Amino acid sequence: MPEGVIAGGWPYVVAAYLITALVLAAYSGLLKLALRGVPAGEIGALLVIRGRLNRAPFVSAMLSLTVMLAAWNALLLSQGSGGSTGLIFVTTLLVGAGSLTLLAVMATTIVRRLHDLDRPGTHWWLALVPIYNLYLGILLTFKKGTTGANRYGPDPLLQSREEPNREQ
Amino acid sequence: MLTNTRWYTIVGILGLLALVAGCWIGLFVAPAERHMGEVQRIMYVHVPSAKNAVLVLTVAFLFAIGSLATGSPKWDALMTGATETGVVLTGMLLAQGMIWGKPTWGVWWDWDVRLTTSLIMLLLFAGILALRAFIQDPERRATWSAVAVIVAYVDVPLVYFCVRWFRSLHQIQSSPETVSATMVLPLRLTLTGFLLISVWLIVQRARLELGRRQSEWVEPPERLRMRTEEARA
Repeated sequence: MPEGVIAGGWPYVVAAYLITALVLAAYSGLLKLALRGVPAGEIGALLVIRGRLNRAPFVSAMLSLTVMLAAWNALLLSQGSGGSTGLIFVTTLLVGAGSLTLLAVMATTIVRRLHDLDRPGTHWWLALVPIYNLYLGILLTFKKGTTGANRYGPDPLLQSREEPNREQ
Repeated sequence: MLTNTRWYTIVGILGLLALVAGCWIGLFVAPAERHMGEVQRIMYVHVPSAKNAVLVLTVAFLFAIGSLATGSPKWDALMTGATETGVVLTGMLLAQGMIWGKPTWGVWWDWDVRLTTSLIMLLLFAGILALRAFIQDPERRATWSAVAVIVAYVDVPLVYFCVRWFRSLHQIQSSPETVSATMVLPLRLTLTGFLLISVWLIVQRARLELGRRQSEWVEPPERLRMRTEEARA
């Protein structure tokens, strides 16, 4: 690298782009949910593990959460190459707490999707089993939820069809 | 305009395509800058965020004037959409700027005139959104927030011109004449992408605001009766 050029720039670049993607995805996703009639309180309560979640919001939620997790960890990488020990320690704590929160939200999203397939939410731990988690991922992404109400709540697809005025 | 969903869906998709193309060229095709190296690639998202934030808040200012002049809920909804989109863009530009500042300036934040006025811009317009949540009467809410947007707008030209008016750590605006041609294309693409996505976001938020306004308030019978009597008198 020529003299005078700032080295180690890529982690910062990745962090900036990921944060941009994350903010745009999160804001447009929240607007979409609000336009579909999801109450503001429910949007905030992402950790709710009751009820059912159909395929489209499950996929968009998992993609957004993955991007958020990557952005959060890119920040950690950007700290690894410089800064004081104290700053690195604080950042590591923040990144650890943020990652755990995001993983918890991911787990609850999986639970609600499992409910949609009429499976108990306790099966979320199967996502941690190697090989089987690939099968589970395909199932959660592509398999249509049970038609009509099941033991975990009403059909989310029927609910959204019954309330077309909320889209207006 | 707000009920025809097709045109702004197309606008949003075009914006997304332009943004992805611009980011791709900015990240993998455009050369690294001579002094800043790879870090300069942050400019392909930072500059469009900043320019569009200023533009969108200017649009919010015009919608606020329209709202005060006509009293129409549509103008108020559009003003809310533009204000909220402007706040999102300003928050994003501050985050990107901080990430860029660490490797180039050596600090995440400096109380430089550009950074400080941008932070004030964020707080002012976020405050207006908070103010809206506290006013229940839709007409008063529209009037008060429109006045607040007009007052807060004083800071927006200051954000744009302060680097020319005052001695600042932040560099002044670049132009195609001062930037390599290979860097202009991704910058123009991301600028267009952010602009189209901003339009899409403003319209989405305005639709939401109109829907909320229609559902939230029905004039109480007692007040309606008093107003009718007043009109008769």
